[in-house]
Amino acid sequence: MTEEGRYDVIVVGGGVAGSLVARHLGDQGRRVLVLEAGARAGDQEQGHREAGERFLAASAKVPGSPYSPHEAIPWPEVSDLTGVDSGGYRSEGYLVQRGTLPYASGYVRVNGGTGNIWTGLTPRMLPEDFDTEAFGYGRSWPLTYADLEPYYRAAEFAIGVSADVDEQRGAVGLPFPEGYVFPMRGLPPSRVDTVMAARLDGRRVKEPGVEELVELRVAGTPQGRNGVPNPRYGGGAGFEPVGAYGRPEPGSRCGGSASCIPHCPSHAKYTPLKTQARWAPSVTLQDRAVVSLILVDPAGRATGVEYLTYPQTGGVQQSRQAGTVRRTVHADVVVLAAHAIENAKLLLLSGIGNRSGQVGRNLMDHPVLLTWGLLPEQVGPYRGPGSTSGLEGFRAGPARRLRAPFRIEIGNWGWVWAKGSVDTDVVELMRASGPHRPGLRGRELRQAVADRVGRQFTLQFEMEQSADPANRVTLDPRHRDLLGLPRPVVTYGLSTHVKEGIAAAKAVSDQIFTLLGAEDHTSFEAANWPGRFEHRGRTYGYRGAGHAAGTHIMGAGPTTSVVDQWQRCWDHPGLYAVGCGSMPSVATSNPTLTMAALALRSAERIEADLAERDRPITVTANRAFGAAS
Amino acid sequence: MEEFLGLSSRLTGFDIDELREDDLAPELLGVVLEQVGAETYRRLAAAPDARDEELVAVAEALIRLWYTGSWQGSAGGGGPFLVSPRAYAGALVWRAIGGRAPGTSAPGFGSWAEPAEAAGAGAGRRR
Repeated sequence: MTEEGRYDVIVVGGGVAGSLVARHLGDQGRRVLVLEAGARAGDQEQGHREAGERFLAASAKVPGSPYSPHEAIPWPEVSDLTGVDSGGYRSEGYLVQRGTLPYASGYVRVNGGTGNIWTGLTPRMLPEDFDTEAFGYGRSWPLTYADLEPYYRAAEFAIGVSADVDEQRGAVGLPFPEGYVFPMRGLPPSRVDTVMAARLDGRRVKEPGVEELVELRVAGTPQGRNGVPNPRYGGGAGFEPVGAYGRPEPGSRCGGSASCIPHCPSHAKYTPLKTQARWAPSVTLQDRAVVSLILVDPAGRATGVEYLTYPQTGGVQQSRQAGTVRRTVHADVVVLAAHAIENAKLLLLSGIGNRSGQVGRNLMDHPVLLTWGLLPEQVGPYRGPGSTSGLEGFRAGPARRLRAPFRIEIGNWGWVWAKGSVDTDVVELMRASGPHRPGLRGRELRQAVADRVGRQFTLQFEMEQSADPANRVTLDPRHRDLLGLPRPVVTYGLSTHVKEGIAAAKAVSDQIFTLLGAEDHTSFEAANWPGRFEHRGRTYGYRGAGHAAGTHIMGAGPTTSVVDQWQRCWDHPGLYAVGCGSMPSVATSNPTLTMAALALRSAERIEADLAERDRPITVTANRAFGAAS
Repeated sequence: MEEFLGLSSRLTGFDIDELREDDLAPELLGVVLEQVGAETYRRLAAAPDARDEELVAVAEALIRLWYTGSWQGSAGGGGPFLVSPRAYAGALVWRAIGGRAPGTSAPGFGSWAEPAEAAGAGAGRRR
């Protein structure tokens, strides 16, 4: 075992939350060590190029396709799951799934984390989202929208958000300080968006069991990707977009490559690598460092971590025999920022922080109902960002009492999330439907493909899933990875509240399709829908949005929650667990921005802790000792 | 090669000139010959509209290859595979809708707001 130097702060994980915390503390001159399980590209440009090449060469363009998993650090991929015709699902791969329904999302363990492959949507949570107990479900936050609001602005700066503040105020109902504008103007809506807006704006739809009608309005979604800077930003200071490798690049704009998940060729989308490029020299990243234990002293204070290394090439087994893999490192503050599931795994593995019994529990995601069809006209799908607009009217209000609220994303990429690549459309059209009926050929086929693919759209209903202690991550010593660390065991399901939300969403979808004059092609065949269930006599399927949350839940006290409002572990001074795992509720907004805001807020708190440690009071104490001697 | 282009044009609905644009034919023909053998390929080329079950399957595999850049998977096991990034970028499905394969080009800021290009049969030229 090797002992290394001492740091002020160890950050476990170089994703969105970890990179932002490290940046803030490095800027204060703190010595920060970031331990990243994945490999860091030696040359950033080469790393970016190779990620793009792997994506383009991949047969299945799944979210993890730009990266080759190292055998030492497996990760879950959406393709680990398949539906079974007789009902239920089959799962293979890193996560051991034991729920009635599957946890249907993946993540990646590479430098920059899942923040490399995110879509880049950055809506804020609504003020009422912080207190769902008022609607009779879920868990409320120990802080309010007003508490977090300044950090939302800080996160919008750090990520570089393009959005229209008036639209966010008017169509979404968010409060902003007087005069605030986003760093960059809202991105142009897609053709799909404008075609829909023309037919939907101002129309009203009815939900079963809800008296009040909901008025539809297509509204732009805030985006963590570069657009046109707003000269009014920062009181007239303007904003300089951040381009490749963290460089200021005033002209950087989304180029419309339509591959945000999983790879933005033009560097317009925010990734944590941009933040890392701006770290102060006092921040060090150690890659291929897999934390295996959080160290605490007898008083319970976190003192450091133990981690395992693995060779860049060559087998894990050989390197274990060489005996060079286990190291320890110490710091005053340890920050877990490894992903909701990995953070829970580390706490469970270390046997700490669990006075409440809530570690690993309350696993949440956004279960997503997809409905898809054909518009009457050509709209040119598969262009631009994955989603540029949404319908926001089902996120708020008293209907939350009856069913989970949802945000409707308008999908710009055809049916890819629902049905997989366009290959399926081509195959359906050309395939013989019987031995004497060959499928389409020649001009007929070409026309049919254009007609089928060119009119595609998808509605993506992101459902709020509330905290349920039964949805959880545990460890089972019988299931281990090659480094000998237990693999996460996931037990997951959907509550009646969520299922009611999905049913309501489908009813809303039906009315929207009618208003659009769209042909509905939604159907949930077993094989393609591992997340599939019956509710009130109808069959529904869901996908996972990749928004794991809740596993080290934040709350008002140590007996019911794992972390406090600063994401400090109640049980262990000096130990923070940051990320979506802290969220008491996931609301209906894509959670990255909220995670970033929370991380920046925690970074301030950590700096305050360290400043407290460094205060001259120590000197006074020494003097006192001196006087006594 | 001319024979392959003729066969491909007949099956896909794209003119021979259109199929030449990305110079994918040699690579795709190589895949076909490797996967189904020269003899079967010859039979298909001689009778592109044959109702013979085996030849229909090969014709469909060839169409899929041109339209998506992927081979559907071999009889000896193994699922569909992408032939190459070039074949992905040049896949005809994108030309059929007047678009580009995701991740292969950057048509420019705001390009996604424009109306879709007139797509469909006969409108195969790229922007």
